[in-house]
Amino acid sequence: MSETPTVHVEPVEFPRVLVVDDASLVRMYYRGILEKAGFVVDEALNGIEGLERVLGTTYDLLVVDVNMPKMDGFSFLRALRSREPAVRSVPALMTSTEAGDSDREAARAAGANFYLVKPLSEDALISHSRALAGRRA
Amino acid sequence: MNDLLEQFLVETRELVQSATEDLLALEASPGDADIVNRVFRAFHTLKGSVGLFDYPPWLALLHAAEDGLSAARAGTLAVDATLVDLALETLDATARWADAVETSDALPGAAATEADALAGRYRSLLSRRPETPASDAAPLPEWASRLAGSLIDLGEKPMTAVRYRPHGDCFFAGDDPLGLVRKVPGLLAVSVEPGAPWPLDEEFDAYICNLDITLLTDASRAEVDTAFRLVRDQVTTVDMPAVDARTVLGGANLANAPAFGSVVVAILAEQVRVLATAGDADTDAGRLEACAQAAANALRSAGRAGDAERCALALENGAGGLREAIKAILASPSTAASATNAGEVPEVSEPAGVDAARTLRVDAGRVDALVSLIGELIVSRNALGHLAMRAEAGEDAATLARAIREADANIGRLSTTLHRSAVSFRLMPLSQVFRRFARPVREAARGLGKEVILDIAGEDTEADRGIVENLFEPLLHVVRNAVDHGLEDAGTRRRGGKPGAGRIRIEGGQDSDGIVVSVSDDGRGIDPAFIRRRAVERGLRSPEAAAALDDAAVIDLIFAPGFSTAESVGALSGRGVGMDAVRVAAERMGGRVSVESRVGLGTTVRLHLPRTIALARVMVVGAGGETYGIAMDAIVEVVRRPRTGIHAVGGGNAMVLRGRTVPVVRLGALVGQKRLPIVDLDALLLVVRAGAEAVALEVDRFEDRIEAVLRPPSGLVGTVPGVAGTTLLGDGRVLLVLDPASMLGAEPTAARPPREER
Repeated sequence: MSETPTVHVEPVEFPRVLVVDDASLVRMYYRGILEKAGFVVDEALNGIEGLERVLGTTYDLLVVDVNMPKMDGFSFLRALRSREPAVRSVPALMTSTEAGDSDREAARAAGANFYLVKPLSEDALISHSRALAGRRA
Repeated sequence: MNDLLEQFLVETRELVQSATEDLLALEASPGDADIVNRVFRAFHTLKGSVGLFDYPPWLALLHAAEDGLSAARAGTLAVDATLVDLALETLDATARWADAVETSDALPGAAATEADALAGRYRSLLSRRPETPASDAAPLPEWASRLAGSLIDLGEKPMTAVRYRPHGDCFFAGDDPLGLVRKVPGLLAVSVEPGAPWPLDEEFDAYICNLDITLLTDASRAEVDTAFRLVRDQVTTVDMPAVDARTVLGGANLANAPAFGSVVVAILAEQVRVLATAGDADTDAGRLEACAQAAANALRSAGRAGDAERCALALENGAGGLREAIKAILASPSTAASATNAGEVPEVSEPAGVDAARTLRVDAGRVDALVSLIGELIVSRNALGHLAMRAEAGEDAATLARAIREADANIGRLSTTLHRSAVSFRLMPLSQVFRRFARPVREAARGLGKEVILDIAGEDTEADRGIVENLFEPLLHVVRNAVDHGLEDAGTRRRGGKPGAGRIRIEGGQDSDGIVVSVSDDGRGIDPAFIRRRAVERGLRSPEAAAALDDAAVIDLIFAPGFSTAESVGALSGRGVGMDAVRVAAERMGGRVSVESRVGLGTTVRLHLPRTIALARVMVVGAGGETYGIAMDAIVEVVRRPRTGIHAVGGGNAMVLRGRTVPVVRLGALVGQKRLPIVDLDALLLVVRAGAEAVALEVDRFEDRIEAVLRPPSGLVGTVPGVAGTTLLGDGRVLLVLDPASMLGAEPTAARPPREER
């Protein structure tokens, strides 16, 4: 399959993503994939940590788990989306083991921009992350 | 070893374990869809994890296994013993390869052959199924000729046309239709079209795959079948003869212009739905901006900067405006946008470490508790600084003393709790060991043609990691013994009025000074007469001595070295290692073992083990003018007896305790201290366990019971037999903690008090 020659100027700086998930293997897995896909990856273990990080750093994307101790993904997003304009508009990819409609619905209400059911394939994570962060797929 | 690999190994073993359990359960209830699904998921996850690394044979095997289980889940492949066995063998291989990867960073040499063989068996299982509709003979369907027409140049080679209509729920099966298509070898043309017109309002469901993919390739039919093996039922394949060169009849050269990426479409549609969903009012502005950002980003990622700009502008018009803008973009006819492959970023490889550090999985709650305790400790320390200031200010001694005592009590309480908290890090549930038994029991029973039901109870009981991890071997020995010798075959059982299937119960529990792990069977029990005979035959006891032992003592003889009760050397046990191996293992862990058996009713073997090994409870006693510690674990009871109750027997002394004769030994004499004049008419005795027997140690005084961190004996002390370790007393003195069993040179066959003058 040949490629169409197109001119595209990729931003020089690497997109920065924050992975908010309590499971260390998941974070590690995401980190490996996302770094390979050109992201700079930060991690947070729960919503509270996530908020601390988001308020201090500008991210291009958040990858947020639903079920976490202390502050879950929904509360985290709700808190984030009600902050000042500079931080509240970061696109968020929500990941969960729940495939049910109620969780998807809750994710939308909380302001998640996409919802993927775990486990994620490498391709799914990369393609959605790059698209949501505005990088070439 | 890098962290990811280390985590991978931990999780792989857990998955192997849980899948093994599920497979075994499946054998009992083959139709259970939940279990089949769990097994499938486990293999699916395993495959996914293995795929993170570069082990092609392993991945290929798990892939084949996943195919098989996927068919089982779909109901097109029977869940029978063949499939279960094959899956179990696959898990075996996986466990072995995980070990190999851990030790040598590579799969064993034979792995590829083994993987091939196993994968072949899955394939032959699958080929027994009715064929899925795959090929249509000529005439050429309309879609295929349309696709051929899109090619500028048709070569002389024969081609294969494929129509792939992914299931609507294929994303949930983990399929990536476009990714799959891109991997088809020899691709000449691809067309991606919606399977049905896109619904463009709130009914749009981004999770339903709505694609009709057609493609042309010069690869062979077999290669194409391989590429689509996972979605065989969603694919139609047509052989196309070599055709004359044609020019484009119309339409884009689709191979060069894939449609608007499905991910981008899905993301855009999702923003429409998010905007239509009501949320908290104070999140509205944030959600709107985030949606605009996400949509614009997605469009930018597809090279549609203009449309991205349109979204950003639509933000001005609120949620409704943005929704309309996104819908308009989705509906626009120019959905074919160029997309290039993601720029490859050089892989960042992690340096491979050499040592596999031991990792401890700790419940997060326990870490939280520890952290909050440390917080309290810091607060208490601050109080000390405050006290020092009060002292400098000349506050009176009595008040200060009271305050210091308070602070001391506080810090004391905290440090005790802190220690307990740290020790709890090492606690793990017995379930970690118990769960590993389903399979050996099944195999042992199968090998002997017996039916066995395994019960497990008390698996929540926790003990130190060092104990739990070392429990498997001895317990396995006991369990195999129970299956092999304890349980009768089904016929004998029925004749004896028992159900044909034997029952083995592994149970964990706590008692006053530790945990008890028992293995019970409802088999034939141990016949004391047989043991007596065997003990005499083996020269372990004289006929007279054997006759003098009561039944309980006789049964304890099975723990004696060199004792094997096997009538015949079975495949499972009776390999010359008797129950004494179990006893030695238990004692090495600071525990002991006991057995209880009733002829015809069954046998219970109990391992009594300490719960933690970090902190020992020690009894401080005085003997011969010195102070010694005796581990409480070894002490059966503390007795005060009039001296008149102690009798000279043979060369030593003994007394009768609850109907049993117990040798009496002076602790002072044992440790070579001089005798002190006897001032008390009563003797103070510690009844301790020495191997299989009890011995009463006479001491001068009882002092205290303490909890102490026992340091293993080292240096000169390390060479002295009978010393369990040392610990520091509150006043700084070193306390020698004795191990009565080894001091008495205890062997269960020769627990004889040393001679002493009295």
